[in-house]
Amino acid sequence: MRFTETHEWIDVKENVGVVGVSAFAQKELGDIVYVELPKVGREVKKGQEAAVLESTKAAADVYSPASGKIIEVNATLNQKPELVNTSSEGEGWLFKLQLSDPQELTGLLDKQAYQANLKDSGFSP
Amino acid sequence: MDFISNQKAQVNAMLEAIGAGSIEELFASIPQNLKHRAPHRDDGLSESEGVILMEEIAAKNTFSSYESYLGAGAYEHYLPAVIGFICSKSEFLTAYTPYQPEASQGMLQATFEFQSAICALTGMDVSNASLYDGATACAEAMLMALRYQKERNKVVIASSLHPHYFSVVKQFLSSHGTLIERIPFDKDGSLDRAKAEALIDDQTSAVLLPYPSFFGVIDEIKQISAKAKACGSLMVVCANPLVYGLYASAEEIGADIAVGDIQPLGLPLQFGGPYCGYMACRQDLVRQMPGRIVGETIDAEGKRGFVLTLQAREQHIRREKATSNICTNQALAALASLVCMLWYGRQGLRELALTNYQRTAYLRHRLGQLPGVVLMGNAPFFNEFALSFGYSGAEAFEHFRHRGIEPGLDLGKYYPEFNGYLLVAVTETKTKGMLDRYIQVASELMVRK
Repeated sequence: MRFTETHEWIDVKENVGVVGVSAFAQKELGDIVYVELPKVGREVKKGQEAAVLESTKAAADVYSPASGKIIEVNATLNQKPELVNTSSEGEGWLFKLQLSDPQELTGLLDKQAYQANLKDSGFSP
Repeated sequence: MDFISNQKAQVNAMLEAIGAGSIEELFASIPQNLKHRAPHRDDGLSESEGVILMEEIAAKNTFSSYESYLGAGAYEHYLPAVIGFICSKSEFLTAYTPYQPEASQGMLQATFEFQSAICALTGMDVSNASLYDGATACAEAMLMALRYQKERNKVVIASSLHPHYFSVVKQFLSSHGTLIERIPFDKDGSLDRAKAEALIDDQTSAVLLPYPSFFGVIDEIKQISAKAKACGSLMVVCANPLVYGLYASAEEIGADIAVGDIQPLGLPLQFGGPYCGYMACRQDLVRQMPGRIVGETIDAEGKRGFVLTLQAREQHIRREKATSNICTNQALAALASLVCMLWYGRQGLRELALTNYQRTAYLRHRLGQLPGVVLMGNAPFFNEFALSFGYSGAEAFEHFRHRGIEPGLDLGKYYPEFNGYLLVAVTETKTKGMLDRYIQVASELMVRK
């Protein structure tokens, strides 16, 4: 599992990446009440807005950690958006991405580096 | 905070502190020709003289001495006295920022009831707390549809939509690079359905149709809705809200979003505003709907209460990504229309709409019998229709105005192909006697020919 500085994670197996947001991100947003998922089949570029998380106090964009094609979305979130809070790095995943450029992943952070990054920014992960 | 102007001593103290000898010296660097000359001073008028002066000026406006058949988007209706009584209560009239989360429970409840009334009227699932006016409501509906389907960038709009509304929509979409296709109309003013269906494709984000059209025509929208649905496009219907008292609801004709100006229900003409837009939609579109929504809830003690809801997409939180950056809601105007709707009630609105239709039908039918008069066509109508007396607009206007009647709108100004046509609106404010006078004056005009 690798992280972005904008608090997304991606877990890649056989060129397919599962994408979600970090535990830190869900905690900062508070209770998630709605997840706007991308359309299956849509092509996204690394860093492009791919989903929106809406909590009781904010609506935040989720940026794709890599380029590729959306091949599946977590439809369970339509009924249970709170999974993003209770299991942000597990059942609360957002979408699956068929990667078009696996090389892009090298620029991402591992968990340790991501958490160190948070600490440097003055947050306790 | 009191306003206390500077006294001479204070002015001098300040001048001394900055080292200027006088006010003139302080402003010496401003060229003489840019300086404001000393205002003319006199003793002014006494209160009673002032009233006389203003009454003289106001009397130059002879508007109210005419029997007016102008409509074209703004309609003269009788306003039940209860509307003014409720709206002038200071709790509503001077309520502090009725668009903020801390709005009073009374204001929130009134807005909630307004939303419920709009839903009942249009048949849609959910309504917002109102928008700026009918034209911006149309534009916001287009933006909403474009947000809903980000990969599409084309809208199809009836050419018989109010031309002012269209120009606002065009302005809103100009920075989106959206392709706007327009549905033509036939000679009788009704939409060309075959062309409409041909224009709607899988790139079409939304279809915007008027109900009734600028020419007063009730088009068959249902069939066009079916085509829109098949292409995955959203159907937006812009309606005079009173039409729903008589004709099928927005939901029944296949609308996904219902918009319009609420003015005919409870708002005076006021020389053009403030009016108030309404917008209602299907439940699954609610998160793309602009503006605020008041929801019903229970408080910590289990009591019924009202609260602004779904706010996370509004501009104070989402800034440039907000669903709209004009969240203006016309709270007081919406209240006026709510009081009007409640006063008439379900049955009363039906009767009011029917009266509008019947009086329009009477005038239209009788005028149509006069030799030389040409009706635009035989398409279904509501409370407005177009006809030609066979005279240039100016001649007909002179004849009618001379006899105290403003006969309608000069349609040629907006649609050159209908040069010489008048757009005539008839509401419940026109008695049979008035209508017969119109017919009499018209027949005199035709005899002159």
